[in-house]
Amino acid sequence: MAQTKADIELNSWVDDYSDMLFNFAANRVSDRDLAKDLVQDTFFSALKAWDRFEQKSTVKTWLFSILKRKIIDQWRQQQSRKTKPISQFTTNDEDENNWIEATTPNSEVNETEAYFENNELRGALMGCIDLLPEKSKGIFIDKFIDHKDSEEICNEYEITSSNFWVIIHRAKVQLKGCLDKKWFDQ
Amino acid sequence: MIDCKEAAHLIDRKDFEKLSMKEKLNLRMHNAMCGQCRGYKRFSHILKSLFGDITKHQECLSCEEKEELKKKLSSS
Repeated sequence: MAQTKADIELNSWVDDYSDMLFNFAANRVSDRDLAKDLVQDTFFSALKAWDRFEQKSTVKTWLFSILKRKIIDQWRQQQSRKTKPISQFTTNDEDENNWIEATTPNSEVNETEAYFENNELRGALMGCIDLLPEKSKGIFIDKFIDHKDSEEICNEYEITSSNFWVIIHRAKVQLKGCLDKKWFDQ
Repeated sequence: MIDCKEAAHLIDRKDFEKLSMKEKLNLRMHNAMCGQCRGYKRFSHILKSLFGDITKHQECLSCEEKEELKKKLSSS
């Protein structure tokens, strides 16, 4: 059977981009096999969407945007907590409303590293992000997950820089409250 | 001395932009006296860490894995 243009492209994409995509995914899902599946799904999706790809962005950007959506979906699926919360952290501050400030590791475990490694926390956070108002959600995802430039986001949403920071701040406060309930109160 | 609203704004910006010396100093002075803002700063840092540039190890697919991937894609 003759190879289509998409088949030919896909082979070169695997050579050119699979390592980059795999590295990106593996560092975010902390599971080699899952990362492999996500990269494979990304290429499958790209193949399906090939006819609709308008080449306004580079292939690399396009593939990464597909992969990011898949990782976000993966994080969303991890919302239900299977392991115990970060109870290894003990309170050492009299101000109990002082959220993370009130918790410190009781061993040599590095606090940030512990959170950083925690895919389930990320999953819980995705659930909280889904509860944000549509506009805030879009802006938050663009900034924190897609790492878009603030100016670009302001242009896209037609908001001023100060509006942008207010929205980001409100979203963060809402996420903090949501995580308090969803994660730390369990 | 800046208030909590200004401090929160600096904390939000600090994750993405370089603050001026004056802003850094103001924030440091405020945080030294405000536990809530220190907590918010740490929450912001964790948030950024969770979704930020989290490349810790360089991971690559083996040649065999790439060939396997190509086969799967071409048979789809």
